[in-house]
Formats: sequence, C-alpha cells, structure tokens
Amino acid sequence: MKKILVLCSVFLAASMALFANGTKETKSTLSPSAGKDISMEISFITHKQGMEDLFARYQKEFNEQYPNVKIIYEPTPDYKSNIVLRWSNDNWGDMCMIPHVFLPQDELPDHFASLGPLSEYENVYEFASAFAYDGQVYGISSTGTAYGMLYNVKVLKDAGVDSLPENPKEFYEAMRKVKAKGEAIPLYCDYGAGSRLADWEWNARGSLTGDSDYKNKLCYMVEPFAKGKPYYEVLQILYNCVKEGLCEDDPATSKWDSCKNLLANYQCACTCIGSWACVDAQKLCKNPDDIVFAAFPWNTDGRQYATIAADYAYAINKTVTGAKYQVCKDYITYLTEKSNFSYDTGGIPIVKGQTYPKTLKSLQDNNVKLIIDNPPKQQDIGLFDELNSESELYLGKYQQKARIVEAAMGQSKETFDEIMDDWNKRWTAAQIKIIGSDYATRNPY
Amino acid sequence: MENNKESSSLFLLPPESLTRSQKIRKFFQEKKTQKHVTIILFSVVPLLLLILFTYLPFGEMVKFSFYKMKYLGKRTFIGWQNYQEVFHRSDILKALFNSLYYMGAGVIQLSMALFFACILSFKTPLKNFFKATLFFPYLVCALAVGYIFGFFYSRGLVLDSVLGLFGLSKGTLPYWLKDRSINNWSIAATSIWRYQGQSMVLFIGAIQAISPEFFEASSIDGATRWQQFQYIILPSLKPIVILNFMLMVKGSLSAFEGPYVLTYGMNGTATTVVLMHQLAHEAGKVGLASAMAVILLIIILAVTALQNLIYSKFFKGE
Repeated sequence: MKKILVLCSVFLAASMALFANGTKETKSTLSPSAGKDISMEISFITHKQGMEDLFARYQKEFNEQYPNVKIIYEPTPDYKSNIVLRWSNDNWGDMCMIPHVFLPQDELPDHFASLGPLSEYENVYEFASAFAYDGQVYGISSTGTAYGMLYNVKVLKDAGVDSLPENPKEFYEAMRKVKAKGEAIPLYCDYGAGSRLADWEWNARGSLTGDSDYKNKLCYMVEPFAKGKPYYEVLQILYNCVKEGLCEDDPATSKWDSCKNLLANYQCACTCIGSWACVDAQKLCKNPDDIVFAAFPWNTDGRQYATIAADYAYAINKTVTGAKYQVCKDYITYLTEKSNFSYDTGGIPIVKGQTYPKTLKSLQDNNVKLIIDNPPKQQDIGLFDELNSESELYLGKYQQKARIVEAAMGQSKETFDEIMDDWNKRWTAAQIKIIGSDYATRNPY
Repeated sequence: MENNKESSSLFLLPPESLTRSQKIRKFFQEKKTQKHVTIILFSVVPLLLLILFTYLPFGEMVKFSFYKMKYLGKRTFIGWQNYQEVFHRSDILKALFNSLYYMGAGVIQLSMALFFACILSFKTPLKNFFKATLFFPYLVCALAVGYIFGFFYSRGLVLDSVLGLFGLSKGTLPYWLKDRSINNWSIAATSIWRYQGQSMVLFIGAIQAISPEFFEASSIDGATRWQQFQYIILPSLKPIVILNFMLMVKGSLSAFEGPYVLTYGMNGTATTVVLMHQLAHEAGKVGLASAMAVILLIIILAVTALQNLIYSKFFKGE
C-alpha cells in the first residue's frame, strides 16, 4: 500500500512539473494614467541576435523617461517560424517585431493593438501604411531597405568602367570588361544562398516601373511575365549574366559571407542585394568609399528609381491595455525617433525628413526616386498572397528564380522563355481559379 | 518484491468469509496484482506524452490532408484531391526518386559499418581510438555538418585540393554540388560519413555478445576470418542487421538535413521532407504537404512489411 502511495505521489509531482510551465502573467494593476514612476517589466520578442549592448543602451536612455520600467528582450533565432507558433496563443508577451510581407493585413488586428489612426502617422513616418489595416496602424517599421546593386567602384574603374551603369546594355558591357580584366568576379549571383536571389525581384517592380501600385496590378495583369514586361527584363539580366559566365565559378556553393569578403577585397564587382548589406561590406573594406550602393541598372527617360520596403515592425500585443500600453507606445516612439536604429544600420530613416545615412547617399546624390509598394485596396487584401500560393511561383522567395539560374548554368534543359511561359501559365491559372476568368476586367488600379 | 503482508490476516482467513471490501483489499495485496499495477502506473506517463505529442498531432495532420488550407485562416474541404495531386506532380515524384540515392548510400554505410565493427571487435592496436573517431561524426550537429561540407565541396577547396594531391588536375574534377548528375551522390555521401559510426557501434555491441568460445573453437578447427564472419558473426547479427536496414530505409525516405543545409533542396536535390517543408511553409499548401506526409508513412510501412516478409521467407529455419 505504501509503495502504491509513493508511486502515485511521484506521478502527480511529475505531471505537475510537466504541465505547470509558466505562462507569462504580465497584467499590470496600475491606474490608466502612465505616471513617470510606474514600475513594470515589458517583454519584447526580437529577431536581432547578439545586440545586448545596444539594447542596454536603449534601456538606459528610455529610463530617462520612465526610470522604473524594465524592457526584457527575448532574442529568438529562426524568428519567422517561432513567432507564428507564439502568436497562436494570445499570451505571447507584450511587444514583438512583425516581419515584413509576412502576415496578411487583415490579420493584423487579430494579434496586435492599434497604435493610432493612419492619418496621424502618414505625414510623419515613412512606411506608415505597410502595417496598417482599415485606417489603423498596427506596426511601425524599424527601418527601411532600398533595393538595387552593390558595387565596388574601384574594381569597375580598374577594368575601365568609369561610371555606374544605368541601363542593361551598359551593365553587360561593364561586366564583360571586368571579366576580360580577369582579376575579379563580375556579378556575384549568390545562388547557393537561396534567399538572396529574391532580392532581384524587388527591382522588377518599383525600380523598373516607378509605379507604387505595380504589385497590386500584377494580380489582374494578363501575362505579367511576358517579354518586355519588368519581371522578364530583370530576370533576363540574371539569366544572361549566368549563361555568359559573368558570375562566380560555382554558384551552388555561394554564400553572402563569401560575397561580402570578395567585395571588400576587390575580388568582385557587384551583386544584387538590399541596402542593408552596404554597411556590412563597408566595415570589411580597407577603403569604405569604394563600396557604393546604387540603383538597379535601368532608367526610365533618364530617371532612376529604387524600390524600398519596410523592415520588421514594432508592435504591441492586443491584450496589453491601460498604463502598460502607454509605456509600450512611448517605447516605440523612442525607438523610432530617438534611438537612431535606422541610421546606425544604414537604412532609410523612418521619420520623414531625417538625414539619410552615408550608405544611401549615392541614391540621394543621383536623385533616385524611392518607390514603395502600396498596400492593396480593401477588397484585395491577401489576393497577391493567395495567387502566389496557388501558382507556387514563390514570388518574393527564391525557388523559381533558382530554376532560372539552374537553366542558365546548363543544369536543366529549359530556356529562359520556356520558364517565363510556365510562370505565365501558372499565374493565369491561379487568376482564373481565384478571381474568375474575367480577371483582367476587374482591375481597380 | 517481498510482500510480507501476504502472510497477514486476510490470507489466513477462509476466502468465503471475506466481505466485499476485504476481498478488494486482498486482491490489491497479491504479488501478481502489485506487479501489474506498477507496470501500468509506470507506463501511464510515457503513454500520455506519446498520445499528446505524437498521435494527436498525427491525427490532426491526417485531417489536414483532406483540406486546402494554411496554418492560420480558413480551410476548405476537398476530399482526396491532395492525394491525387501528389501522384501527378513531377517534383514530388522526383523527390521520392531521390530517396534511392540515399538508400544506395545507406547500403554502403551499413557495409562499411559491419566491416569496421568486425575489425574493431578483435585484437587491433588503437582499437578504442578508432571507435571514438569513427563514432564522432554522429555527435556533430546536422547543421554544422552541412556547413562543413559546403566548404568541403566548394570549387578549389578541401575535396578538390585533396584529390589534387593524388594527381587529379582541377580541370578533371566535377562541380560537386552544381552538377546535377552527381550532386545527389555528394549529399548522400555526407550521410554515410555521419551515420556509419552509429551503425558500427550497434554492430560492435552485438558481435561482443557472441561467446568467444565459438571463435576459439573455430580457429582451432582452422577456420579463416572470412569463414568465421560468414558462419558465426553474420547469423548472430541477423536481428541487428535487419533493424539497421529498416532504420536506414526510413532515414533515406525522410532525409532532410543534408539536402536542406547544403543546397536548400535546389538543383534537383529536393527530398520528400524538404519539399514538404517548402510546400507547407513557403507556398502555404499545408493540406498538400500533409497528404505527402501520409503517403510517405504508408510507403515506409509497406517497405518495412515487405522486408519482414522477405526475411521470414528466406531465412526461415536457418
């Protein structure tokens, strides 16, 4: 009898230990007005790793406003997978980062508190509409990225290229000159890194068309990947460069880290990437001014454009209310306006009118117009994602672009035109299935 | 477990005179009952965990396979459509075909493991050093292995340099990961490196369980090492070989870390699990991926059943 009793109590204790994992109870019982002496802890799930010093600095500076508030950062690796799991239960914490182009706009209110009406933010902050729905803003972008080409101008100069190419013809010429010189890789296509191929696609919209609504028009366009259209033109540059051998020898094992080092050591001329990479490459280079971020080699009537996009956004859990909500909102304001996070990481400043960091100076000097993808109209929210998912074109990701590079390397028997035809076929099939066979006539943009 | 209560008053009284509650108490004091109760109580927790973390999610996944859905958002019931689609898609069929490369590599892996196990079970100098070195790759994290082999296979780096020492010039060497005709073999080779230590250790354990008298007797009778292997080691190892073979087949059909870390499944190296991950998490077709997973399970069960059938038929009575 005694032994059975012991066994039962052990089992009970074990199951209690198993099921009693602490769910964070962070309810504040303070009065609604957020006085300076409020004491609380705010949990903040972030995707940034290894930035403890920076977070400590933010904590110190924020404590000037609220001396007794503690921000507890939770750096989370493999952020995109983990955050979805945590969002499935409303008790995930107080603040987090929303990845860009990740959640459909209409799902934002399901998880996050409104930070105020869109009209309040539109004229003050860049990218205000990126995380907004139904006139309310749910996330403030932490920084912004521009898309284009990262060049090492000294490598180009040594090969006889004096000015940065502004159209595809000049670009091919420049690459061929670098290849002829034989000392550096012309274009690092970074195929092995997978997701870097997706950076080409950003240029296919704003950089080529100057049209903020191009992404929305894509949903209704007839054969958007046909010859002459932006996607075709941009990806054809990628295809031709790889086919002609104007790229690295073994793209299958390329990585961004290798590319960074090659650029910094004058062994590579350019690569297609976002402006965030400029700072990283400059840090490694003997002469940082040799690394220049410029717009994609295309111009429309002499004017160049660059697509810009919001980055991860600050957001507050919808369950947070009262004094805590006020403190969280003040923290977001601090991070956006005073912490200089965007400037330090070489991104587009969020507060309109703030100075651009040095890395983007080249864009400003060349009067490059920055184009952002507008969010879709109310009835079209989620349409692009649905079409993308149904057609399996992985727009915004790398899989189908990898197919183009593989064909250019000679590893598959497809030609570029065949691949684009297949894209058109799949996109059209998805359009017919989701919108209807009269999809072209329904374009509201 | 000596239960001295068995000699207590309840067992001394005549059975017919016991009341109901006394009978129940007597039942629970019996040694047999106590043994059963202990077994049940100890099994409850693992069973609970198994049901909660394996069978329930699996049941949900089978349910998902009949829907068109993402993880969050609306779900539409579409019946068997996902299953039909699986058999019509060339990329899924290619992924299943890619498993054959891993099975081929698995056969090489088991042969090597058996070979090393035989050598290292007998008097060999530096025996323990070799065992540790051969087993070590199994302990290395899969992502680290992928990262290392990324450099290993890079043009002009480790593998190319080593082959260059043997006189093979760079021009004759293939592009290990770029060339579709061999990249699956390159990746399958990394799993040979990784897993053969584990198989070897299992074999060593089984060989050491064979009584050394057999070897002494057979060497007195003049048996060669190869004859000893054929007639003493192999028959005793039969259950372990079968087990390893089943594990190898299951591992080949669900190979993930190698292809994912080395090439993200691009360039014709996608295996079933890599493709499932892509479909479910990047294309958002959770239903289709679940259908793939169910079909994969059925294939594994079928292959295992077939293996058992073959072994029982061919080795019956041996």
